Amino acid sequence: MAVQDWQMVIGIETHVQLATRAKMFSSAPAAWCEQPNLQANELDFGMPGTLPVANQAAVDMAVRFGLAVDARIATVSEFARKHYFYPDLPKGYQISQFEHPIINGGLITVADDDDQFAVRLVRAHLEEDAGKLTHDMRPGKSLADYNRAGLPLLEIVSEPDLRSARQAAAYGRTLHKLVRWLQICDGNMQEGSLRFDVNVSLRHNESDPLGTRCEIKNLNSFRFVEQAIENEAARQAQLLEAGESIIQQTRLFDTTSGQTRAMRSKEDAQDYRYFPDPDLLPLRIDEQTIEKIRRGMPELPDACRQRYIDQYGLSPYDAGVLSAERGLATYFDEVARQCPDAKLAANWVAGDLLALCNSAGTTPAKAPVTAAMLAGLLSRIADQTVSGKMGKEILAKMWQSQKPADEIIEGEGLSQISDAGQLQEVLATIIEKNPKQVQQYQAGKHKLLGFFVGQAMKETGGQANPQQLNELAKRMLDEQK
Amino acid sequence: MNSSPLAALAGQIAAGESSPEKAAADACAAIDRAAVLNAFIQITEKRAATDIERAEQLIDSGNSPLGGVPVAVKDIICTLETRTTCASKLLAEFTSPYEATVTGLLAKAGAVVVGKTNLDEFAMGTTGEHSAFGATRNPWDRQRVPGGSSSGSAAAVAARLVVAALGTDTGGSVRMPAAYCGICGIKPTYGMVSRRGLVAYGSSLDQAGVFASAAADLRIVLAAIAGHDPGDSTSRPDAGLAETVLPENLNGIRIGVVEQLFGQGVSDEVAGPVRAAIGQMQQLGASIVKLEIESIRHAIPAYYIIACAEAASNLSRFDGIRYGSRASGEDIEQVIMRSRSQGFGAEVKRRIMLGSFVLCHGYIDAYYRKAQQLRRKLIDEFASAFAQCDLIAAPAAPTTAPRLGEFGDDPVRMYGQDVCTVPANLAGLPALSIPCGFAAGLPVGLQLIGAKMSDALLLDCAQVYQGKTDFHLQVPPEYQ
Amino acid sequence: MSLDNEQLARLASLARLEIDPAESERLRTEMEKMVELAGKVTAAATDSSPPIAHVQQGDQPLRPDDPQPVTDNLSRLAAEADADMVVVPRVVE
Repeated sequence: MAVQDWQMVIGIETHVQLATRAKMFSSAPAAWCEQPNLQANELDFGMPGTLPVANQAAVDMAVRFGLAVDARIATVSEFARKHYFYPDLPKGYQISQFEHPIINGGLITVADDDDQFAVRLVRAHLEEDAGKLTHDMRPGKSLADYNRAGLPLLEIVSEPDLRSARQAAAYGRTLHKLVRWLQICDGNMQEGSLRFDVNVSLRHNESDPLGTRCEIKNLNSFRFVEQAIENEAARQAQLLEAGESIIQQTRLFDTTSGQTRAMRSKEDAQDYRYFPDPDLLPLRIDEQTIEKIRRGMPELPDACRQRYIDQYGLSPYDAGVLSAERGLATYFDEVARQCPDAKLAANWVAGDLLALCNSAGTTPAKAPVTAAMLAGLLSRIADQTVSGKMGKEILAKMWQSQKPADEIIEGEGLSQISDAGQLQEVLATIIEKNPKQVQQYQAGKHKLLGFFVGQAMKETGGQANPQQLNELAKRMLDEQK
Repeated sequence: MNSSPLAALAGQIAAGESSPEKAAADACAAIDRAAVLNAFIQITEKRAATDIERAEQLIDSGNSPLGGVPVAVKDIICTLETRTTCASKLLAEFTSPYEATVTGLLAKAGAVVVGKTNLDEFAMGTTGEHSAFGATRNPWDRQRVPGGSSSGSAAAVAARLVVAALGTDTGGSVRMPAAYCGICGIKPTYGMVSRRGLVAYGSSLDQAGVFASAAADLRIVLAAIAGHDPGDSTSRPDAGLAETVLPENLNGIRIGVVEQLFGQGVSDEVAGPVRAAIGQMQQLGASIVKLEIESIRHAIPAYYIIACAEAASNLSRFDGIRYGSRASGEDIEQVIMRSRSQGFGAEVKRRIMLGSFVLCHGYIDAYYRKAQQLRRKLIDEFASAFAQCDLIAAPAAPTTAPRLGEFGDDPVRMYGQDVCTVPANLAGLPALSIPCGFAAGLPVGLQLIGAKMSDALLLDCAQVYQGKTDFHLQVPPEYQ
Repeated sequence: MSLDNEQLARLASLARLEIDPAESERLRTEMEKMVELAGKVTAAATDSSPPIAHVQQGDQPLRPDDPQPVTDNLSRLAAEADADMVVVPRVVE
């Protein structure tokens, strides 16, 4: 037997760092800070006598997530203390939620190319992050920086509904997209804004009971999620096939070797002694508050994609590209609203605009060419004032100068020549000067049409309406007979 | 016989007969002379200088309810420009980077913090003997304990070293030493005074409280420190001491007498003066209602479970890593383990151990959760009791001040002393203790327990009682 | 309830306390008495009273999302600090 003879059963706990301005329970800034320990106040340092007060924005963001995944929002939830000693944990306990989380249940639909599947959520709860230890600055020492301590996290716990490393990574990407879409997380993977703990076990069939699982902690990229699961499943398969049993444990993924290894910390110490935090009263969220947050919810990515298909007749692929990110979708919606041709808008936003954004390292929302400006250009293309080809040049100029399309078209005399009389005049001169080519064309060498059109285009400095020019050239050459 | 030494001293200062500086110097000299009591861990000259300067400005602007009087603060409340040791070896050199809300309010009202007082380490103790800085002595008899855990604050006020002092009360730590030392002490309604800056022992039970020789002075200080604090999630939105017109008598006041508070080891020498005081209050117009509060008999075990569970958790932060003294060790585990083992005293370790036990897997339901259930039951029973009475009168402590070392190495026998005081903490109720007599030359305390937010009513009744009695005017012979 | 040395050691380890072997027996006796005292609740009738964690009946107040700058690097209070960070013996995960 080999790993493919086993079914992987995977559940994921995702730590999403919420995009608040201040921390979860302290007023210290949540922004990234280069200088160690300067975003950590007395509460984040666990100073004696300090008291937590929960951040409204973090609570609202948790509710927003809950509504987006159609979960039950707890009208009463509770913060609890989770105890363990570690030098990055300032109070000797982490404030988390245990028996009564703020979000219960929920469903996430993952679309991965042809594969579409649903992942049930167990819960999502609020908690505070720990500080950060650095190990390689001084020999034999670790250095603690508590800037990260106290940052708000939403821990999203899935049911073990995933069946492959690929599905797990796709789930991670979907979650990543969703939390950014909801604007509750900046999605910065390098800074650890999303971290995954992956539980993996093996069994033969869907109907078999769950096997003993191992948890691989702290994966911060989709690639690592996939690699760690593949590696861990292979390790477990090998053990099981050798007749050994799996020991439930927490493992770390070594990104250099691509292997997982057991954590050194003692497993017998895992008695967290949870109890309700006496410093924090029950968290009540009334229906009105939930309703208010619901009214402020954006259209969700799946609905947005479907709307692009239904409303604008876009292909599922284009709809997917344009709804990949909320900023892009908002941009496209604005262009489409102001532009007579939604498909044209889709092509330009997904194509030229995104390409410009990517090469400039910016996003549509921050692009120097606003949605209204792009719509202005597309209107000139739609009414044939300029050709698509000219449009690309104009867009590049707009990007540089931030001037509206019309100003550039007018200022540089770029408007397309669509005056039939003018074009006929140009074509007549060319036909007169090239009798040989005319003869060949008339003898059946219709490819030569391109020659006449090209010459005319050159004569007009590229401003001739290409479609019109084509038609006129064909008609005039045929009339020469 | 109503008196207000605090108001009198503030009056002298306002009249220019004294000054904040002179009053502070007098206090420091008195503290010095009474060094044998071991009531203070430190004299806070630098802090006092800052407070004096501010007090002078406040007095000049006519906005100083505490009028530049010197006060002492239990050394478990974080103050700037001083150390905050919690009477622990672990924090012997610790200076808090921030100020507690209560002491900030004291300073803003014009008080001058002249010293930080001794206590049972981390407020864990009933006698004042469990301090890394040595036991505090009772000014009435130096071979006896002053009571704990706010031992130094109580001894300082009893010996008239300062007119008022702050303590904290988790299971009786203000009322018990007030009773043993023959002074007044109040534990306000839970949520009345901010806990921000109180080094936490049992967070759901802790309240800062006030010591003074007269109930009138308790009122002045409590009015200055009570109030809502957005920095404390358990602070009451309606916190603040209600202003009342002091009644002339106790007409219409229904006093509940709960037999359970006179049982369980309450000595006759204490019960006698307390019943006499209740009789006197009756003569002053109050009516007596006999009541039962069944769950009081479970209060001690429930209290020790909850307080120790919270303490074990709250004291997890003391690992020697970020502050406090750090022991050496080969690896991080050893450093943490040794810092804690060398830093904490025996009583603290016992309570952390018990707290860990009641929260650990397999025991949490039988102990911690059960205690929480009993706590709810007790709260409900108190609520029914207060439907029938306005306040409950009871002893503050089952005996007069025990001798030093009396409980030896039997912590459980010491815990029994809390029998009269822990019910108010479990239920979050305001309670005060005032002197109501003497037994063999030692003071006896009368405890008044009220419904939530009836702090002002308790003070009214205490003041009416003190208007007709002079127990609170008695000063230990050596300190007259 | 009696506590054996293994239980005692496990509790001490959970609480990160070292037990001096010379005092282990005394601590065990003290702990037994304390656990016995605490154990009195186990027999008490509590009907269906749900557990209560707070005496305060109100809702949890929430703080506006308004960051306040930090100016004091508190690593200065640590027994050992370097480069504005708290230094500890090397931690191996």
